[in-house]
Amino acid sequence: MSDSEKWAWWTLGVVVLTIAAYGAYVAFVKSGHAGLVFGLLALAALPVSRRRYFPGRHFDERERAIAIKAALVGFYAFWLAFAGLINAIGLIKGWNATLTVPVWTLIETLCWTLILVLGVQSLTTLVLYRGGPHA
Amino acid sequence: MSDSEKCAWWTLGVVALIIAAYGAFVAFLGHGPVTVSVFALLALTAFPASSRRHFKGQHFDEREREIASKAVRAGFTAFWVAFIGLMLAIYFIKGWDATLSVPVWALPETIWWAATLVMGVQALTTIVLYRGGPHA
Repeated sequence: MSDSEKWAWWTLGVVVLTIAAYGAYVAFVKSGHAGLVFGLLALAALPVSRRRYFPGRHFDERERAIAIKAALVGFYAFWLAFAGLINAIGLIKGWNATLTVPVWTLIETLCWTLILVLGVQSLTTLVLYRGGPHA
Repeated sequence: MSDSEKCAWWTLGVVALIIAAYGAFVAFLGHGPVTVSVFALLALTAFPASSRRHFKGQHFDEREREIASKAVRAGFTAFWVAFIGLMLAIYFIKGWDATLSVPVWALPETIWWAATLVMGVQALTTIVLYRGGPHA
């Protein structure tokens, strides 16, 4: 298994763990900010394989193509979610309404966005390594 | 000059036009729900024949493909950085426990500004990589 695949499995695990922990927090703990569980995202930096960029290791051509595609798919998902969320707010509340949100929800939005990008990127990496056109 | 470069220059011109038109609109008519109409100018990016290179089935050579890929990534990376920067700026300026109120009509503007940013950075990166970058 390549470093990219190890990284993808680990990241996907961290993403699933964070979502589960968030759900559990909201369901069972009624006080405090659920946003605290996003600290679990730091686990994504734990395995050695995630450091593949920094020690100067190089991808071969196939690995590079997969990494680039995975990053782009992650960004596309972010773009779709961004545009979708804004249009959903407009359609649900009406374009003449005023949206009032506590600032801490913006930081939560940021963390959810990170989860989305990391999740889609790692999932795309796994799919392309296993069964995609690059397999 | 390749089709990609022509498209990049054209797109950069459209982006500059939109920024100027938006500034003029806000300066003379104020900021309101109709301000977003300025972004209709983005449709101009579909005007030149070179912008349609993907649809006609023309193929990039390896260098062009590499530049196009890098330019798209640079565009989305800029969007990602701007998104995080905006969220953190709001947080630092207003504070964690504050409340933010925005009219819903202003939200679609962020989509259009994001599209303008992505296209602008993508075009600029394309031009830089064709002219003076490591791919020149």
